[in-house]
Amino acid sequence: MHIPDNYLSPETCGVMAVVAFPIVALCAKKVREHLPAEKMPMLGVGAAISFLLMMFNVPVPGGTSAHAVGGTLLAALLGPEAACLCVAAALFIQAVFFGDGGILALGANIFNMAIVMPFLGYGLYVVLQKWLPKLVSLAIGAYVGINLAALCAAVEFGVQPALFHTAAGVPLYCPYPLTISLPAMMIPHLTIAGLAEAIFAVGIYSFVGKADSSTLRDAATSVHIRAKRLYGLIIALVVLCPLGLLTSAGAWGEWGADEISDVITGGVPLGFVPSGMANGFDWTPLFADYSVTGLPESMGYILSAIIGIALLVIVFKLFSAGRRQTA
Amino acid sequence: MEEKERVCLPPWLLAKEDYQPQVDNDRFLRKSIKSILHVLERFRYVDASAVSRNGHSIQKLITTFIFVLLVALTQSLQFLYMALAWIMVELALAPSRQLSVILKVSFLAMIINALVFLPSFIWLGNKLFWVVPFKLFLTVSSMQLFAFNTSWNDTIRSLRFFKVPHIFIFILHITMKYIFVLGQRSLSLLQAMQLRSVGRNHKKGTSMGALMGTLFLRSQEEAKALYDAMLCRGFTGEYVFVKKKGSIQMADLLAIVVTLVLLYTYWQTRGL
Repeated sequence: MHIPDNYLSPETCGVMAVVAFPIVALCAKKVREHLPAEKMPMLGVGAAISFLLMMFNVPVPGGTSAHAVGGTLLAALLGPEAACLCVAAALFIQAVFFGDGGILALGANIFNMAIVMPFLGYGLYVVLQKWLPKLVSLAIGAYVGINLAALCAAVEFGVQPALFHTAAGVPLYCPYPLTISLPAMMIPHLTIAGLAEAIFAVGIYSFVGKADSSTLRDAATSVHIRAKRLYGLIIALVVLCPLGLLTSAGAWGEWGADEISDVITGGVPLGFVPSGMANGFDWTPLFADYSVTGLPESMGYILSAIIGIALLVIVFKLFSAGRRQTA
Repeated sequence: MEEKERVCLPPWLLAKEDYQPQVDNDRFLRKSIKSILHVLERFRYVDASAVSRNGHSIQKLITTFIFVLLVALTQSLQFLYMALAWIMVELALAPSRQLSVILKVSFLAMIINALVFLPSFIWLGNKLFWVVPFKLFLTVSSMQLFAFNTSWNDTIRSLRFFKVPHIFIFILHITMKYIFVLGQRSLSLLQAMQLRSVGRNHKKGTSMGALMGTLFLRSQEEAKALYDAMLCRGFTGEYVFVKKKGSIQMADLLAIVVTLVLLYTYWQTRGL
């Protein structure tokens, strides 16, 4: 679901950034002021969980792959604002250091995965709890959350050919209209990826969360996190993350400019490279595609996971240290 | 009656006074006080954590030494990325207060070093100009992590384990103790001078010289007193290494395993 650079027009990227960044800034402010002090260190760990979940690619129908995000899960554990911050930080580090998701498209990716998913998923989770058990509502919230995020991404992809094309009608950026992008994004997420998100959410929540009746505030602050189990979980996920390499298929809509011409849709290869992609913005990250040249693929993947989550923990530690000084 | 008393007052008391102390630029004084306080605070902070964190001090000394050595020797980027991963994990586990201090120093060292190497990129197009600054970042971070996580006493203990001569350890030990003591002395001297100074001091150099001289004399007296006290308590000039009881912790095992992995990687990637 990470939209790469040059799939969206610079105009689209600009609009999405203008929408997304102020929301993230607002969330950061709210988290600094309202998150309970004992949950501050959990921010980095939460971001690390999301980062790791996004490394587990699962094969999906249509010959592509998808992954869980953990947005709703984090919202249930830490509150939606903190979840937004965690996922946004993970997305930023993925884009800058690992080339997963575009730098220009960061605003769009943050909007889909860090804003739509945690807030709407969490809202549903809270509302449904009136009628359903907690874990069932969490599963439904996670499932709907990731699908709404995928829907947003599909719409962002799909409107490109209609809005940005040459005089002859050749698309400049993403070449697939809504009729292709919607099913291509939604079928994988409605089936496998949504299921994976719900299973991960319920599994991790029941593993690390513990109902805490001492605080009767909103749903997110009334859950106590078992930190030791969470750390254990992270170590296990790091060791297991090369499983995400088992599927060699890339995700839909994440091909490079050299690949897109051969992508077969409905039995016909695309046959051209949109000019916006051929001459677009190009960023060379330090660890492109989570690999280190000269190291075996799985080693590079583990190394990237370790560096990524350590970076996230460091960033959030500095963030919370800033709060203590200003408070 | 009143008239008579007034006459008795000495004339200098009767003169109307309008003394405005000249504004003195005492930035130097304030700056020295601030920096001394800073050092003192750091030393107290380190001393307060008398219990070494993250495992045994001997293990830390060895693994840090090997780490710095390998990072300096290697010519392979893969090895450096592995070293980076390990340092980042260690940094992520450090308390946030240390973290910002360590990162500040490491980044500063790296940036200054990068400035030195920048011409090789600008004029010679050397694309690997960042390797040495990157190595510096790794080694400086590693040394700082060691310094923050090991108390002075434990460092000295582990030095003795490596058969470092007694006289060297003695000097180091007394120096560590004295940085703190002399810091406090000089702080009180500086503060006393600041309190007593009104108006402009035209002989700042002389005052500083007097301060240093006093400090030197005092330190000599105290050094003698300290050494005598040590002799009275049976100090013979020898540091005996006492084995500390304590089981191997998880942190020790982890550090040793990581060091072995790094050694293996270094061996595999040498000459690449």
